[in-house]
Amino acid sequence: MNKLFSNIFAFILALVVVVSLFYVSKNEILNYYAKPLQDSLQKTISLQNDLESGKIVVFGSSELVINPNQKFLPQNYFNNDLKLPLRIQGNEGQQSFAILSQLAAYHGETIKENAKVVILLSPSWFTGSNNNGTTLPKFLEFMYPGMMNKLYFQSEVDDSYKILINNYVKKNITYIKNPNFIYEYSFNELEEDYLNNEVKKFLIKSFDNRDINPPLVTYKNPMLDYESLKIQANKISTPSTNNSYGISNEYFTKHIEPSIKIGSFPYSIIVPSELDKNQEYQDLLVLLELLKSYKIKPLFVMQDLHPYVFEKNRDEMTAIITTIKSKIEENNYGYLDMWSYKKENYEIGTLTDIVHSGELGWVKVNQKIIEHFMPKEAK
Amino acid sequence: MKYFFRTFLIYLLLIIGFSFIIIDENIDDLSGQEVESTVEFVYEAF
Repeated sequence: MNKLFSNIFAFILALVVVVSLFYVSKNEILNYYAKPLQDSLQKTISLQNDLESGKIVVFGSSELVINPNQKFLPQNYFNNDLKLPLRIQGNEGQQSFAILSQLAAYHGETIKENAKVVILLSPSWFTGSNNNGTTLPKFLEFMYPGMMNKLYFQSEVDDSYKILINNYVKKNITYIKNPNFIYEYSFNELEEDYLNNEVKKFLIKSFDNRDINPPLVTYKNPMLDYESLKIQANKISTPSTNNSYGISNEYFTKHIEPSIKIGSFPYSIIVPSELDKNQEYQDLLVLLELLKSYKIKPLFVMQDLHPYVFEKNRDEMTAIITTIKSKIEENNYGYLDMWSYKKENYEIGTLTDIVHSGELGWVKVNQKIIEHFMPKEAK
Repeated sequence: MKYFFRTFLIYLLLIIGFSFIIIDENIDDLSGQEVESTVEFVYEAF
């Protein structure tokens, strides 16, 4: 009996000593053993902090990076001219599924309470073949191991989203060069391994250096005169002299003139035959579902395809745009409709080429962002 | 007392060993380097 008691006591004491030692020297031990893990997680913190602090975060694709010197580009205009903090997230090829995955990885109470999300939708995401969703290289660019770790071991998002993302990885696993642990194992396999799962959660939590209660970013309506800004936008835009569509000279010479010569102008919009098989549309629906739990309604901006250039099959594309619009508005999310339903209504200068916003287009986007997140105070 | 210290030492070593194995394995799992796709992203500039 004495031996049994002695054993139990020795075991408990040894456990206490190990736990205490680990707790006291946790940082030293983990810093020594886990530098790559720390670096990978550190990379995730900046976007998470911005979302959790209520900074406006604009998710989009190529329009955010293709003309970085535009005055009214949101990141330039808000941060430099208005001195209002705004972050952009994305580059060419980022589409609904990549955005959904990032938001799912960060999902938690603080984000649901504070996040101010703008999503710039490009009609071109929904065109092409049925299999038109986010491509694997772009998914891996935004869902690198640190983000996948957050998704599986920290995010409070419903498991259905984790499984959906895991299924995407599984479907594409043969196209991943030397996939490491986080891509190789299925979410269910990870969940079933209870002990290791809990240790991983503990490790992620230990390395999470982010500010749990970041100072909230607040905004005040800057009370702008948008008509003057639109005039200014037209003035500062480089005028088109070789075409009447408002397309930049360089772009027109390089891309449009050759098409005219070979008789493929105006362009045709290739649209998948059935909407329920349109992968991008399906991804968008899941994204809309995820955003339902956000306290501050997100803002969606549907951009345009130049109506004088993309003339053929435009009615079919308009039907898709109309369906997307109704789905977004069903959820009472903000929506800026920049799609040209009639080409006569298109304002020259809204686009700088055939798909990307010009200065005038950005003024309209900025106006909507301000109106959506910074309503004028009632007098 | 001697018996107690001996068992304490054994348990201490066992727990340290087990913790080391399990933490090391999990840090290794989580520390994966960024991976690449075998298919290349082609940006269609329209």
